[in-house]
Amino acid sequence: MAVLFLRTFAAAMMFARRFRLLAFVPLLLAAACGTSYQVAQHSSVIYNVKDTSPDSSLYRLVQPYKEELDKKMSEVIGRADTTLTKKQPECTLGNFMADAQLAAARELYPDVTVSVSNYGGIRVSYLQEGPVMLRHMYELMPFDNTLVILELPGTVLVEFCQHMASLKGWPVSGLSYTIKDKKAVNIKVNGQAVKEDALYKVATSDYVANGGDNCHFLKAYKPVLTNIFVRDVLIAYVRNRTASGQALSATLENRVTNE
Amino acid sequence: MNRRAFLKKAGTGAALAMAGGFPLEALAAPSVQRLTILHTNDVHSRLEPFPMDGGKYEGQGGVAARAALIKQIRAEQEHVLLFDAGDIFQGTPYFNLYKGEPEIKALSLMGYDAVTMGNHDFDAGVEGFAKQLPHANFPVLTANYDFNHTALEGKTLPYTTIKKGGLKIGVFGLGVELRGLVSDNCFGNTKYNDPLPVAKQISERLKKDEKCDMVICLSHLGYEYENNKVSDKIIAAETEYIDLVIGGHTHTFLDAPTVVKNKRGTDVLVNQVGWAGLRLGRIDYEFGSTKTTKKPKSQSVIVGKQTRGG
Repeated sequence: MAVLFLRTFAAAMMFARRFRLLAFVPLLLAAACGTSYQVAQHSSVIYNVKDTSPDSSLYRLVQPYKEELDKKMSEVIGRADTTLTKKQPECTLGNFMADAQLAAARELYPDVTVSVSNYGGIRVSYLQEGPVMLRHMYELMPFDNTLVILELPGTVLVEFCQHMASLKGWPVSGLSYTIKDKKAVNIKVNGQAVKEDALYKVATSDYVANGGDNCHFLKAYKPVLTNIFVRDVLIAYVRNRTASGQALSATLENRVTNE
Repeated sequence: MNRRAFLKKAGTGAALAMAGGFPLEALAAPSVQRLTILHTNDVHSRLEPFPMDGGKYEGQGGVAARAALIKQIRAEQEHVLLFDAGDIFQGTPYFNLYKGEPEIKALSLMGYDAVTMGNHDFDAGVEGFAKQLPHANFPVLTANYDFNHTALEGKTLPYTTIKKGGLKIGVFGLGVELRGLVSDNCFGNTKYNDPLPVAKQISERLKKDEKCDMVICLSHLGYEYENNKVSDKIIAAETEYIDLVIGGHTHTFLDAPTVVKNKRGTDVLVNQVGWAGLRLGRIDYEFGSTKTTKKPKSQSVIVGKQTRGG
């Protein structure tokens, strides 16, 4: 750096001598040095991006992908009779996901009693009332997480609930708890107080079971793998309801409450 | 600047000066420089606008609308830089079907100057992100991830410098702790280094060694947390040479950049524009010469929320 600077300086001096412009040198040096500015003021604008007159080159880029995608994703798999939403401590979108997970797990292992979904795994803020398309399920659960079953001692299920409570509440099915001072109290499995010495079969995702969202305390328990995507579980749940003439709906049932 | 370029410039300057009548001040760069920074974060594969289904965001977002807006601003302003603070991938079926190809192509076509990686940019594995890099015409800045012995080894940069007008801008990227957030098999051998010491070191290098007039941090650490977990605001407050933190990860909608005092008592802006490409952030800077601008003026933050399509 220093050598380069000296060389540059020497070159500048040579030029300066040749043109007899010694007085000009400091200016050249200032330009060569670079650091000559600092922030004087600033202002900001936030734009809402709205599709009024879209850029044609980006439109052309997306179009071929979109056409193929629409063919695959626009299939209507059911109908939501209410708008399902994402909220803490409990929400309709979360209840739907936890219920679907429990139903799928029970088909394989009827003694599964509890289902837990991680709140951060709900990837849309709402599912609009009306037709439910395949794409909605991909947006709700875009990850290729799979359904797993964990067998947990009551003490660990309690720890799991404490973790959920510390994160302001996660969706559950077959389980209920109240959040008091960021701690879970009144923990119940199917209405019965949790027994610390009992074993509970819990349906969740491989992401959570592998310690995702800081569930490191679950890593000691080897999950039973199903190799079924959680997304496919949700899709099957909606399809099953459609097949039995039911719309998709979910209500708040005081599964998770704040005291 | 290499020697030949310098001589050429010096020669031109000298020739102009010799021609006479040309004010010497004009040979130095102008005393005021303007720069417009545009930014997005957590776009999450939202290539299309939200569908017209009566939902909260219907008709909003989409790369075609964003590109039109960017183009319009570029037509109005001479010096514009465009950045993204990560989580480019994951969230719509585009990612499930095409694994990030159209997302990266769209960023290239819009002329992004640099991006950083978010945790979801690891969702197809380190290999999955590396596979899409041939479609990128911009650098990926990841100062606190060590990608040695991974598919991304040598394919990202800790920082870059960009010249705009008479200004030299230093930009670096910071990513969030991956363990516990991303599946182990997705980040593989990636090593996460504590962002704060990295930020201190890189920002000082950009200011003192690279002699940047402005230092920008693209951060996917998240705006702020209830505990003391490292965040955009902590990076801004605990360092000395950062002027702007463009944040992401927490999907925070700010109506104006937050002003944070750094270790030297200087103002740092922290901004974040929600998620899904619903918004585009814009900050216009005016720079004065360090000689005449003793202290930054009390900085006027003009808040505006505009809907402008293109």
